[in-house]
Amino acid sequence: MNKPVISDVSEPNGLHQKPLLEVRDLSVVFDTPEGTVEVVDSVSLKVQPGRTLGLVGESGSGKSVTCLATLGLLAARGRVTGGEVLFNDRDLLSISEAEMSKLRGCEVAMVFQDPMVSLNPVRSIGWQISESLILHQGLSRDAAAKRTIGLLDMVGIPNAKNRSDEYPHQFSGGMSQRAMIAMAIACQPKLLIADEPTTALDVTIQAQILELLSDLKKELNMALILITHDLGVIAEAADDVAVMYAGRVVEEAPVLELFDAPLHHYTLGLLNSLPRVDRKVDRLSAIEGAAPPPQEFVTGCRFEARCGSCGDACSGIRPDFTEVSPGRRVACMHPMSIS
Amino acid sequence: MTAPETREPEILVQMRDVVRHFVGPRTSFFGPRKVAHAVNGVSLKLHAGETLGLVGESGCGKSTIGQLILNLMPPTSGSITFMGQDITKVDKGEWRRLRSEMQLVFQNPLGALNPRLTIGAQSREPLDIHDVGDVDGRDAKVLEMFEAVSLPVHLLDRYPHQLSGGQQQRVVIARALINSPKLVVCDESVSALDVSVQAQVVNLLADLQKKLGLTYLFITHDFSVVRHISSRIAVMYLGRIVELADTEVLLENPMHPYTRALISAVPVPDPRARASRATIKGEPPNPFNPPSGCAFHARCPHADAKCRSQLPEFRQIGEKHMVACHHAEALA
Repeated sequence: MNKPVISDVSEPNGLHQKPLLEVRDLSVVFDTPEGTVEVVDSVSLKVQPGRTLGLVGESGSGKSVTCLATLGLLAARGRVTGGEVLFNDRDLLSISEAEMSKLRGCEVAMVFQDPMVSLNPVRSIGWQISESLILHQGLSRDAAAKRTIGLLDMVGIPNAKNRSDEYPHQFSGGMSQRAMIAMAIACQPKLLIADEPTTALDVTIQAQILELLSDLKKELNMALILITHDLGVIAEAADDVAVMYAGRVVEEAPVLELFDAPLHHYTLGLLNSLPRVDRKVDRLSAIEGAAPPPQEFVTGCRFEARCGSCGDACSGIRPDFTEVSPGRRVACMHPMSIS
Repeated sequence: MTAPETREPEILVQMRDVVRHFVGPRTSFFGPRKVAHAVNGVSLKLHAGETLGLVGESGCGKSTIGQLILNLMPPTSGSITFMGQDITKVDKGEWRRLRSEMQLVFQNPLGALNPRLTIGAQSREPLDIHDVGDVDGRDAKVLEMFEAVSLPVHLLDRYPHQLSGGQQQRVVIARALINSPKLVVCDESVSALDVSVQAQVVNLLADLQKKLGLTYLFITHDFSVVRHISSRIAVMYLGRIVELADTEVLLENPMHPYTRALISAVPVPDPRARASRATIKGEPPNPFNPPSGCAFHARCPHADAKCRSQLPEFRQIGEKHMVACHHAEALA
């Protein structure tokens, strides 16, 4: 009970290093019966090697779609309309599907929210993990099975040898998520994208999974994109943070700076509206209203309607990013001042 | 029971040694069926006007308690009284009357709303069912409730899918409160909402409680929400209550190792607080195959031989502070 979950916040080094993944002005639209809606609007992100980028936002803010588009996993109705995704200098948007398949699950892997849905119910856990080893690394079935047991052991599944023969329904939620993580790290990816990996789990199990991800990140020297709606999880596990609202990134900052002095009024509002276990306030300061659905996205600042500090300049034109310091940007006409 | 204390507020709900079993699959083809003790001897009081937070991991039996109190399922043994009447024994007519005094707000508002009825029609339904007042009076009451939960009137003719998640939950709350119930069981009512909207709904629930004198049983897995809404908190583990105290006492001075672990597992939105976290190992035990002694012993860092063999008694440890742990004093 006394092991700290996650090490100290990494130093904000490597900011001038070449990013492992760079998303530039990515836009994604969905074709719906009512017409085309843009759900991701010119999103730019950078992930440095070995670091964790926390992507935080409310539902519908476009955080998952951004990552799915990055890996070419958009559903049939989704289309990328602009931008580029550079992974190790290769533009992932222009490579062929065959090349993408080779890359996915090998150099970049993904873990989703609900492990029970992601696992195949009629194959044993071990079989499913070996599959990617056989496919990507060309191991024999026996060698893959052996390595699978090692992987299950690595992600903290007790009695890995016997449990690798079990089926998903015999695994609890936390154990299934561990198995999913084992599958994702099987080929030692350079980048792991975890989409709400702990949202479906109990807090005690969530703490264990976050600890596991942080350990694995160090052990395998991989970068991590952690998608979450929970600023608590961000504070716990991220090195850098990008805050998304209504299809756009509104603020980017190293984790300490974001929590110490948020610059965007949305970030501040979000932090103030959080109920906290470590202190009691008489009344939560909620942000009035709700985030707009994609059909109602405007060109100007999309937070304007809920913002208490907006002026005339806020509507009509898209607020540009102001680079405050390296790695620290905000898209707001009237940002909070840094004091 | 002893003579009622003078300052003790009215008791709205009282559960005495309530047990609820669920029967599982057979162990073999002709073998006996397995039994899970979802609720295993729970005694709990709900005072009028208070909010009792019921916290625990999934599968600990917290939702079962909510359903038992609402008489959605009968207890296997034990008694539950609501406004002084044993709800498991009342006749149909009386139950119909009592039932209008209690309401339930679930986690997923879209699942709780009828997709084919307009918001206005389904908000009025409780009044129609319980035959309250005339038609004009009912419509007026709907408008009044809409105002109370800050829903714009133009939504009355909309259907549930046309509303945002926060608005849907407001409709569910308006519908639940339209009959002026005494008790509202909130089962993870704000868990599915985004934080900015969650704060609005938590504030709304608190305002309505003040205005209407409601009593809440607030069932959740989230300690941070429960801290802001509850006056008392009960922590459950595998069908039993392991700690019960006033909110601030419980959070500032948790006595049960499980309560401590649960509180420390909640991520705090402060990157500087990282190192202070502690995790517990393992997962909750299978209710079909509960461990001997204290159910928490396998995950508890302080467990000894006594914990493995003997069930700890749920006992008084401080003023209005109850705990079920052999070593609570030693750990304090």
